[in-house]
Amino acid sequence: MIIKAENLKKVFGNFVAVDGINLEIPSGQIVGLLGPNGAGKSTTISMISTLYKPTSGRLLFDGKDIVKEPKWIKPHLGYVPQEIALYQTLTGYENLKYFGGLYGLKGVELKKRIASVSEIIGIDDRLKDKVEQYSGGMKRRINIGVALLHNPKLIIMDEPTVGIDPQSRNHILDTVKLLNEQGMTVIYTSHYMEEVEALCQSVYIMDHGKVIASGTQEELISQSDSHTAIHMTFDVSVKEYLARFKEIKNVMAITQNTEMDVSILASGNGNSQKEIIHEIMSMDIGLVSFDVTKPNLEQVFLKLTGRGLRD
Amino acid sequence: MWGLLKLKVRLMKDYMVLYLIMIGMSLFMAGIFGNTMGGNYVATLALVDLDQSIESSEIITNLTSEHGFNVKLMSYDEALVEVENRNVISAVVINNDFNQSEKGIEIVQIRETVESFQLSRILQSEVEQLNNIVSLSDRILEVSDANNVSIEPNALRSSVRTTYLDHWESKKPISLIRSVHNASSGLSAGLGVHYTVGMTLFFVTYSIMFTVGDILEDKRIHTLDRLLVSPATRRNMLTANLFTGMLIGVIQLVVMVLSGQFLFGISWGEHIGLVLGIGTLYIGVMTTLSLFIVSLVKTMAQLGSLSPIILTGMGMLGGCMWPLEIITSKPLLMLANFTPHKWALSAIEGAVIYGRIDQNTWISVGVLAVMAIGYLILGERMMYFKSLKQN
Repeated sequence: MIIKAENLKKVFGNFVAVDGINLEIPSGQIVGLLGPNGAGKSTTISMISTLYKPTSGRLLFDGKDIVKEPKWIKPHLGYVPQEIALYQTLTGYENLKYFGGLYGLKGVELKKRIASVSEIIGIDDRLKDKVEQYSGGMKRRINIGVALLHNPKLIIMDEPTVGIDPQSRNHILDTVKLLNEQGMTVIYTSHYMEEVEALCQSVYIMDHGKVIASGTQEELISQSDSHTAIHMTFDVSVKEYLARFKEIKNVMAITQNTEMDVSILASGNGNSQKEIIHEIMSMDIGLVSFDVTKPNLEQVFLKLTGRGLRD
Repeated sequence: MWGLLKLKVRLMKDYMVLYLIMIGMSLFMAGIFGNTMGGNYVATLALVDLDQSIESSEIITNLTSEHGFNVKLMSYDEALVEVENRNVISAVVINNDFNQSEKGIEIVQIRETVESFQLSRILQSEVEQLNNIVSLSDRILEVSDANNVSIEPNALRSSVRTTYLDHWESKKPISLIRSVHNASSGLSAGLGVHYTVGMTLFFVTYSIMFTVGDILEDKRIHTLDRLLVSPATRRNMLTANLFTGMLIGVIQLVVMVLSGQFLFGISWGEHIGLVLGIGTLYIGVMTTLSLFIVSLVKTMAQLGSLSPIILTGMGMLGGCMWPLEIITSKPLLMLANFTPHKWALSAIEGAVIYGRIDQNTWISVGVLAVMAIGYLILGERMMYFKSLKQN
């Protein structure tokens, strides 16, 4: 485990920001911390990145105590803050150069790393421009680039795609995947469920400072007892067919929305909805269209907390 | 550490306009004050010579030629009117037989000013010189009377006077070497130095304060988190900020020393090294004081509001805007002792104007060093507690 947290707690005055959580983050994975604003994600990663000291509990990086040995850990850690943490009056190149210098990079080695990182983040043609002239997406990319310069073992990304256009977001997600393919461990926090679903091999769902569920996406979905929903529209009334629909294997419940429109809740694995659709089509009763809504982390969160991720 | 220093030095470019304004302002203010109160300005005084002797005429000559006063001879009543109308800084009345009577020399003035203060010091010196001559003559007469040698008193006094003035300066057994720089400018030279040094010490503090306060800007733009996550320690960060604060202070000091010499004609003389040394020590105090003030506030806006009040107040109390010699209020003079400005100004002025490097100079240096260490400890501890609170 690259990161192991045991009963980790952080209290600010009377406010308990993180309430005795346990984390186990294996090397080489992208691990998501999912939760609404104020769930404790940023405080958790601030403790991992040595910014905050835990009030209690243990936090280990590669078996070493983060609180006791921050000097050993810092060179192996890359941190992408939620905000754009760059000197706006410096060029992109200067930002990379000076922050790289803080990690002891210099000379040819530093130049090579800047070239490599700027290629990864796709900003090499604008490096000589001042950061204040960059678009929001470009700033986000260089914000990530600065954290990659020293080739850390673990990179912590705190909502790195907030407030940017879809193209830049996709580029950042591709970058995260690429870094992971190169062997880097990534802790990725977001309240965008789609990003976590697209990237993370395992997920910790947090709310009110606690981890309320964890595991792979499949494990979380199955733990939460969420099901696939199939919405079907017909060109005739289906009232008289509802009884036959209920007899189909893996159909759990049927809701007739209008005379010609029904929603079917399916149980079982990914193939069950295919069988249900195939069965209904073979009845030849005028199926016009259908769509399948698979259970996702949003629904898992909704089920666990009774509210949405962005509420 | 080097990486951080390079970054901070590069970021100083962002404050270039501020630094230029501060240098420009100190040049401008030194020029304005120096020219109005020093420079070509010549103080006028009314002089009433009731003695009409050789001694009195020599005093008048000295006031005019050596000390740069514009002396107007007039009657006592006319002199009082001139003083009341503030046409002259003071009226000097040389009473009849002033070197023998209790009345001596009187100074009539409405209030103490820097010029009248200097005038009284000059006259004090003249009177002391005459007292020495009279005293010496009297002792010689006593000795000659005791030995039944007859000497004409007036002839003796004249002889002693001539010997005292002409020969003793070069043949005296104990020498007090005292050099007065730019003596031809008289009174104005001291004020020129005072305002150049005073304005430099005053304006340099703003540059230092905002450079040290850059740590607050790092917090605002979130780069502080990035720095804290990096291998750079908090102590490295403080050191880098203090270094850049001192660097800009020293640059500004050197610019002002050069400007003083080439723009305002100030001759820093043989003590240029001491001036720069004391100036650098003062900059050290102001840098550590800035750290302490920065530790008290949370944002650059708070610093921007607080620092002019503190820095202007300290500059005024410390004598940057006017010489402390004209201040008569004891509480104000007592408070001035708590400002680094007072100690730096006094040591630099002592060296440049009066050519004096004595115990007072080293006391000033010591006080400045203690202040620098004290503020450094206070600032560092405050920053440490602040970071604990944040954590």
